[in-house]
Amino acid sequence: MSQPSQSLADPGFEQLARRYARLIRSVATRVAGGEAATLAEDVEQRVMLALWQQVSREQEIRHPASYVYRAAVRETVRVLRQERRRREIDAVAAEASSEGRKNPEELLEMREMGNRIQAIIAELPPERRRAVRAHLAGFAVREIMEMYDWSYNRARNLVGRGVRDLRRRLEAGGIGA
Amino acid sequence: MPDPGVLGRAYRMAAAGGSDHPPEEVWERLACDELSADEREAVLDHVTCCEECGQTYRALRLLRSEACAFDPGAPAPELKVVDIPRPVPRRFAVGGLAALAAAALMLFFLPTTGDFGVQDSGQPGVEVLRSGSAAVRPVPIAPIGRVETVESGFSWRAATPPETYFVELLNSDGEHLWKSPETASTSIDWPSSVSPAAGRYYWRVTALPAEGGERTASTLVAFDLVR
Repeated sequence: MSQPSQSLADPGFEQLARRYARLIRSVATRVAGGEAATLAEDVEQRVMLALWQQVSREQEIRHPASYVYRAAVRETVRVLRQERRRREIDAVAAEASSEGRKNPEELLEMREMGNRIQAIIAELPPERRRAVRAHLAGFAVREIMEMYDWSYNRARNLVGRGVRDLRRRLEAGGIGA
Repeated sequence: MPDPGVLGRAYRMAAAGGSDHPPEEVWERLACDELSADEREAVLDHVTCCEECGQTYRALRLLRSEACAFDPGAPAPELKVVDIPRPVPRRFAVGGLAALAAAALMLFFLPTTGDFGVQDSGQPGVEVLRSGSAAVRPVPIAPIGRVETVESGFSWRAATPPETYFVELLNSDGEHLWKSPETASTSIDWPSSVSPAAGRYYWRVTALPAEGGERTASTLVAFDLVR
């Protein structure tokens, strides 16, 4: 079984870790969209260090060829979490200002509609329920297809029929009638 | 009736607030195809209710789809065979495979349970591709990841039952470079018509059924040819 120290001594490790660090910064920026425009400049350095620390801690590497990938997966989760926390702090500051404050009636109305949507979705058949949830969460049909191993047409039809059911029941309940 | 954007915002507002986010260990197992079907379903249920975890899910799909280009230890991304929803205008139909590949590459490739990944071969430092529920598909073996030569051509694990195959090769922009003649073998030489210049390539192998069933394509895999 490979020992971590041997891998860390490998000159290829630094290059591999550096590429992962760049990739992690890139994917974090892409999934967070405009919100991540200010993604910290030092994120690559932090990721490099974190990857090194993670790999150093491994006493026994069960999957030698993929352990850096595994470390990168964990580091991606951490980077996104850190960035979200930072943005949440910014959002709280904006909310405190009068410009950031939202209309409470509008918020209440949205929340009630959201609860009604949740209740309707819970009554849909399982696959249609998954499709509608993913659609409303912002996933595209092709992403939903991948997510649940459906064909494109199946995913599209489940979304279409599920949303149609949802609209009918909302209308029957007096929303949007 | 509220427009789709309003429905989505209302849904996300009501769905938000859960704190039972998957721990890092679960994300890692998801990204390495190690979750059971039930565990995976539970994670996906959460992903579609939690904007935060939806982002993480997308990021990990991107990470996986791009990591294999430089890390042979990363699991291979997957190209789904898409049943095209409707005929497309001719100008968009040109280079259909290239468009399919480009679209697929832009998508996120975290596979479903039983799809392709890597597992220990039992020999130190050596890993082999495995497949689960998708056992009928052919599985690309080489070249994958970073390679210095393409002299050994393309090789793959046979589909079940054995079929005839053809290979398609694309460049880094998803443009179609070559389609091989059909072969009953599980390997084929690098095409003499394509100069093996350094750069990224993608390829896949498609099994042709002997008795007119549906063809099954492998995952689309990437390799970087370095000189």
